[in-house]
Amino acid sequence: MSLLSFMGAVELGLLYGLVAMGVLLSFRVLDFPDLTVNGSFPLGASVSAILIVSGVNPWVATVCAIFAGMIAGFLTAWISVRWNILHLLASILTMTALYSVNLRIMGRPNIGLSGENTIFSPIEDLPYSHLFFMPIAMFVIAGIVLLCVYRFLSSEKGLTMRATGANMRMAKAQGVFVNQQILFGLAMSNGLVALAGALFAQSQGFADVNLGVDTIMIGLAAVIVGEAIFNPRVILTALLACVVGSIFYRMAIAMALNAGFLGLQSSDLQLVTAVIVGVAMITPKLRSKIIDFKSSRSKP
Amino acid sequence: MSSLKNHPENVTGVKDAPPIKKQIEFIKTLLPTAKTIGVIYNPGDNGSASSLETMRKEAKVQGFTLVEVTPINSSDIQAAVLQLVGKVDAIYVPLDNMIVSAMKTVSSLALKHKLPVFSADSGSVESGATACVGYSYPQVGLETGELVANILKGEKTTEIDIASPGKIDVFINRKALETLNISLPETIRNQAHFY
Repeated sequence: MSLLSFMGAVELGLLYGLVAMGVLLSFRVLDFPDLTVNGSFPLGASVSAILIVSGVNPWVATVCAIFAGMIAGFLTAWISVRWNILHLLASILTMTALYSVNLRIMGRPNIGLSGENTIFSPIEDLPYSHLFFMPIAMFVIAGIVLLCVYRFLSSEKGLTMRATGANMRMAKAQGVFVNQQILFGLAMSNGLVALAGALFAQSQGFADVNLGVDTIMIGLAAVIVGEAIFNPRVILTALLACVVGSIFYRMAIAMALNAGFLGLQSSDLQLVTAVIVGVAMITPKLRSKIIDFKSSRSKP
Repeated sequence: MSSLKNHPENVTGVKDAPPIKKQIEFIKTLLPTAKTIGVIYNPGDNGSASSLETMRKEAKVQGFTLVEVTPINSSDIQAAVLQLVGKVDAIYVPLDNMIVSAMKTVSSLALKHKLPVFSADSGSVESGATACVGYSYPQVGLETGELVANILKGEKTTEIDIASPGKIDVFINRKALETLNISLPETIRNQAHFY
């Protein structure tokens, strides 16, 4: 892997780190498996893209994208808690609908943004932008978001949300409005994912209706790989772990893109990615197994 | 369909499959020193899969090494282009739905790293690809129209072979060419369409 594609993987990994944090909120904190992200990622991309090509300030466009994502997440939560529909099904409904919505928003299947004024414009044309400046910009953004999410989750409001996910009956008994927590939590999670979508469109230079196809898989893989590597016990490590997991996942893809050297065909990419990620998840467990085995043998 | 000459009674037409042989020859004309070509395509795209077979054969015949990268998702396209930087002298994009719709990204990224992008379809040149040798869709339509006219005049469909359009066009993106500092041979410049 060249330095350039390494830095490219870091840049995209940090971007998808936002998705991973969103998935962490729904999947781990609220215990609500949420497929809406497959729709809210391209939603964020399309909202920001169409606004930018219409001449709106890119920062305003990004904020609009966040709100659009929040509405999508809110809708899923509302369908689920108000009508008592299984969380997975509720999110599939929103995800399905969002495909059409995204097509409507853009008016066509994809919009190119190269040459438009984006939030990355000031650094994009600098020499070596993909080597240094874009990854640094992503690092700063991911860092700020991580700190905000961390501050929130360790505040009283955040603890209430975590309690809801950890034990809903107990939380209810303590006087927590659990439905409200789910509505708010999913809005926040999908707002984050839509922000990632908006940043994706602006850094990669296009928004595409098929962008979101496996957002949930990327997000989940990042969360789980992160957990396998770090074995987090506190929320800050959990957040850090999913960003690192996301970067690792991108590295795996970049390596797999290069798989020709093993006599593999280029179409084996998905298989290679799965194997690399699988090995990363199994290795820590194997290590602890070996330690267990050794300590059991040393006992008299 | 058994062959282009021996086709079912009620089927004939003008074929617009990209002329891959000519396209590789064109890369040679424009970049005489080029040795390796990077190809970006989605392995799940049937159109790319079939043109890749021809591409591999032709590249071998004409002495090029192919480097294939296969993003399966539009989110992997940037990684795919970066993967090629430093390894290839030019990028070729076949008629691939996913890559062609992200052509602006591919070409601006490639241009930033001084790589020319050759596309299989003329439309991509408008969105930033450096150059393309191929059929213009109006030309395909024109020749199909002539076919239809002949049939209306009484010619039998069985007697008309399915063939590519007689005229091949060259499409050039002027801005990309200037950025890359490629000089066009006089003969090409005279007949090319510029964007």
